[in-house]
Amino acid sequence: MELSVEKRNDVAIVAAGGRLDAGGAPEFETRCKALLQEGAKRLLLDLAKVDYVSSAGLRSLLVLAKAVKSAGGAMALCSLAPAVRDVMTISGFDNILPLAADRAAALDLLK
Amino acid sequence: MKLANWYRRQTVRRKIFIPFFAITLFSSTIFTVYGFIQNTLAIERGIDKRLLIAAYTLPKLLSADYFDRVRDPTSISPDEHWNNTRRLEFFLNKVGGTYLYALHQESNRYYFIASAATDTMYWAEYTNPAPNIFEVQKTWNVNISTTPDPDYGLLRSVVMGYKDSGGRRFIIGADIRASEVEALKRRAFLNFFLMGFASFLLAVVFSYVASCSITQPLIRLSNFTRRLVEGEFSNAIRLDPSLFPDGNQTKAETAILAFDFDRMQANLAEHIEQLKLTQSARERAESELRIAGQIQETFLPGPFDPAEFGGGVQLQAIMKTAKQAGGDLFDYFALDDAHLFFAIGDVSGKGMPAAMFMSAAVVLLRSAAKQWRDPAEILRRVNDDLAIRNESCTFVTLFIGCLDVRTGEVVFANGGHNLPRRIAADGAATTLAAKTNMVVGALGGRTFARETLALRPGEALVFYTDGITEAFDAGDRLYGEERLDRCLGALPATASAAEIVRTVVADVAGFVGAREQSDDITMLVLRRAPAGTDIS
Repeated sequence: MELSVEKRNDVAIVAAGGRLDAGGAPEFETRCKALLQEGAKRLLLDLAKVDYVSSAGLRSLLVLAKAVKSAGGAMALCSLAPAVRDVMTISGFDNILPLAADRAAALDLLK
Repeated sequence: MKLANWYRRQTVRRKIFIPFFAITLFSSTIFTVYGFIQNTLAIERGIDKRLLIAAYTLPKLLSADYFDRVRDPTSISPDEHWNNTRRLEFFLNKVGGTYLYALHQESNRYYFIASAATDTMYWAEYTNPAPNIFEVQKTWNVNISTTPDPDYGLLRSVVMGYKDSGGRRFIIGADIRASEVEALKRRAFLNFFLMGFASFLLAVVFSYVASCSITQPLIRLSNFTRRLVEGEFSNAIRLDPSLFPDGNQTKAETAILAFDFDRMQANLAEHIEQLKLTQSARERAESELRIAGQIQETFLPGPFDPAEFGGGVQLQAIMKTAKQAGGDLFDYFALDDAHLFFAIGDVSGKGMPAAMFMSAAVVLLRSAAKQWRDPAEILRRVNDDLAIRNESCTFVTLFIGCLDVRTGEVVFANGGHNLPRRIAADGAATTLAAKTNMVVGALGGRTFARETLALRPGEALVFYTDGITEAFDAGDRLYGEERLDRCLGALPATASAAEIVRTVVADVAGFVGAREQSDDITMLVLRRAPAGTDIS
């Protein structure tokens, strides 16, 4: 799991790469939770380089979504690969997580 | 090179002893030979000096005018000659020599005029003079040589000239038998040989004892190590403390080694004990997980009875778990004599947490199905129940439905599960365009769409979990939906539910090869018996 964090105004942008599965999800979840603890209210997850999301990955996204919600913030996902987008659709996650085509669109969603 | 290899293979004791032995042998030999040669030279020089002293002293032992008085055979009385002989003999005995004499030469003949030999008369002729006598006569130099005397054998001799007050020439000689010199040399050789041999022997014994005292603790350590290995590192096998009497307060390397070894073994025994505990804990955990897997299996239904519903329905399900306890589930049971309830699902995550969540899901699902019948309502209820205080956000994807065996109507609802395949009576496989809803158990208060389809005779529905489409081969490639569709499309239209399951599972196993199964593989196939089959 490759992770890089960038902060633009009060939006924390996490660019992830690799497989968001039972192996990578815990690290991803811990890192993002740490950002929330540091005070980031708005989380933008750029999944452009994520080629696989398993049920463990979905669970992590769910945990983060709940954490953001309880902190009174907002979260959005962007630049999903077609296969990852399919997973979101099949599992119904597209109904509860805001998905955007690219970063600019996602930043608009977070405004 | 061969010698170096041989030496490398020797014991430490020999490694110390062999060079020591060689050096001692070499130095003892050098010492003996050099000492012997030096001593021999000293003996020879000493003998020559003695002979010179004897020759120089001879005139002083006679009366001052003795040589002046020697003229003819009668000039000296036998008594005086006898007295001279006694004096010379006494002196020669003290100095150490064989012969001491003075010669008078007259018309190329030599006569003894004084001698230490009691059997030599005054003016007795020296009939067969040795060559060095002539040499001195000619050159008048002191001659020191080893000469073979025709009458007296091999001699070491000093011969010199002497002039009386009137300038007349005499010859004085002193001899010692060469055999006596040789005897002295032999004794010297024996002495040196014995001394060298004794020192050699002493050094060898010392080096042997030293090498033993160095290697003996090593041998004991090595024996101890062997016993330790044979005794499986038991704490009961301890090193003899006499190997390190001073603890580590010593400069003796072997004692320090033994001390450290003893401490290491104590640590080792402790670690092994710890390891055994850890291992038994892990074995307990593994066996618990295995038992959990067995308990989990009891939540799954037994084989579908083909005679149920009068043979109008075929149903085949299989679950191959990746770890001892997994998160997949399937279920089916008759709600009444015309309705068959079925479900397939996949819990997020793996292992014990997933297995526990799966158990709860199956139990909730079963009781809800019996109570509500409507799949959408069942999912809504189960979702709300599972979502209560579900902090970990663990969820389950569920596809559930109810088949009316008489009409073929299937009422179903999809909670975020992989879309099933529909195989038409002519064998064509398509993906069922079911609506997708949120997964079950993550968020409470959600609703699920209720849908229906009409399953015609000979048609089948194929349900699966992502353990099939996300099976990896050795090259990290996914099995994928396309491969699944190809496999289903290649099936004959007459394939029964059991044949469909068998074929797909075999195709996945062939794809994965020797790689370890990464996720649970679950499949459920529901097929309406083809038209013409007797439905009572």
